[in-house]
Amino acid sequence: MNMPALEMDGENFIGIIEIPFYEITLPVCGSWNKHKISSFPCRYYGNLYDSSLIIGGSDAEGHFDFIKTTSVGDAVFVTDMTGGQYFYQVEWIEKYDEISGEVLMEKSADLVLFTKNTYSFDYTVVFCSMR
Amino acid sequence: MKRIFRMISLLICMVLFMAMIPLTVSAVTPIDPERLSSLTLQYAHNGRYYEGLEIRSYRIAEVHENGTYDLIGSFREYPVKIYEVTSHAEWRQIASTLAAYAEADWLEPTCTAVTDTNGIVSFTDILPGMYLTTAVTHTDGSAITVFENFLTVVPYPNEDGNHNYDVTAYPKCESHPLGIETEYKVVKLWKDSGYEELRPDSVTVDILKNGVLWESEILSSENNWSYQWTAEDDGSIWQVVEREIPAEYTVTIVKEQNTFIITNCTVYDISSAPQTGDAGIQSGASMLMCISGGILLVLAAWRKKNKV
Repeated sequence: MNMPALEMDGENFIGIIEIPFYEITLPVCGSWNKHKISSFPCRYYGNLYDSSLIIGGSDAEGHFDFIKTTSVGDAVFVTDMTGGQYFYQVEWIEKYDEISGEVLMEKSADLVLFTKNTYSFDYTVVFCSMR
Repeated sequence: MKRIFRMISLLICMVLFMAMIPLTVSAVTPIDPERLSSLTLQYAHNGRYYEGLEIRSYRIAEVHENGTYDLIGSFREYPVKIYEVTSHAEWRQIASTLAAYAEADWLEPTCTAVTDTNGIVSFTDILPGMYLTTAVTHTDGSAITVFENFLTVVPYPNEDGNHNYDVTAYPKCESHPLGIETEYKVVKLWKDSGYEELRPDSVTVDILKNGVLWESEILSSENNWSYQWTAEDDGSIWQVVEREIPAEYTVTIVKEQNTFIITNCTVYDISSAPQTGDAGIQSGASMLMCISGGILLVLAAWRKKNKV
């Protein structure tokens, strides 16, 4: 099932991701482009409705930098373009030297968030379960 | 050789001396905890002034000369930490959590007043400290405007290191339509990785509507630690509080749209205070002193050996 999208400035956005504890509210672009993630996080794969959504973002301040300090138990909200809100909880966090689609999809998680760490050149991946 | 030893000793002494010189100088004026102060609040938005709002402020913490705060009175009983707070988001969570308990337990506010035609209330002759002002709403038929809970510190620090004991604040608000059937949800989260055995089997949550108990619910793993209810959005303020919080946990209550998130963090997960610039310098100085002392001992032993 495709996610409804809203076009703005030539980009199709599929929703909003919010992490209340860090006051993060960001639009999520529907298509993956690593050159765009400095502006907004992008869907890497999947969709909200079958619990396969993977979103990648920049570790710049105000973006996915929260991943450096997030911990198990933090709340994550994703709202789609129909206003449907989905609530997740961080279940576990892992670091990888390299990642691929296979690595991100092999874990059983309802929502996966990831970022590349600018200074350490590795990746932090946050796996969330739906509440 | 004697000359070289003396030069090395002199150099080490200079290093020790320089390590003891403070490299930063604090210019902050001490706070006078007894000085009578004032707090002025203006409730306005988009050029509109909100008259007739009943404002309640609670002095939740006293302030010390060095600028640190301690919760006071009934607020000391709530497992909410106000230290090691580093972000605006955390301060908002503290405000919403303590406001919920203040309403649920019918705590007496420190000062109350009604906004005038300019949306202003002024509390004068108050003691310095941290003040919690609880949320208020205004309805005008089709929409509701909500001014959220917030914290204010009195006095407020100036850039020059002095303090302003007559503080003015401008609460923020947001508006949304009335009359919509709304689904609310309360969810219990645990941040206690490695200490899961400390969790109780269930917790009791009080749901309040406009400060009055609406219903109590028990959350547990059986209901996925969550509960939902539906009500018409008539401008009422909904809050939730957790009761009988285990001693090993602190609590924060956050509202994200129509979902209340009650998070219990184990006290054992609280990290140590981050190093400040001064602490870093002091630890560097200590290291220099240790190294220099060690070198002195080695040289002394070497010299003694050569003498023998």
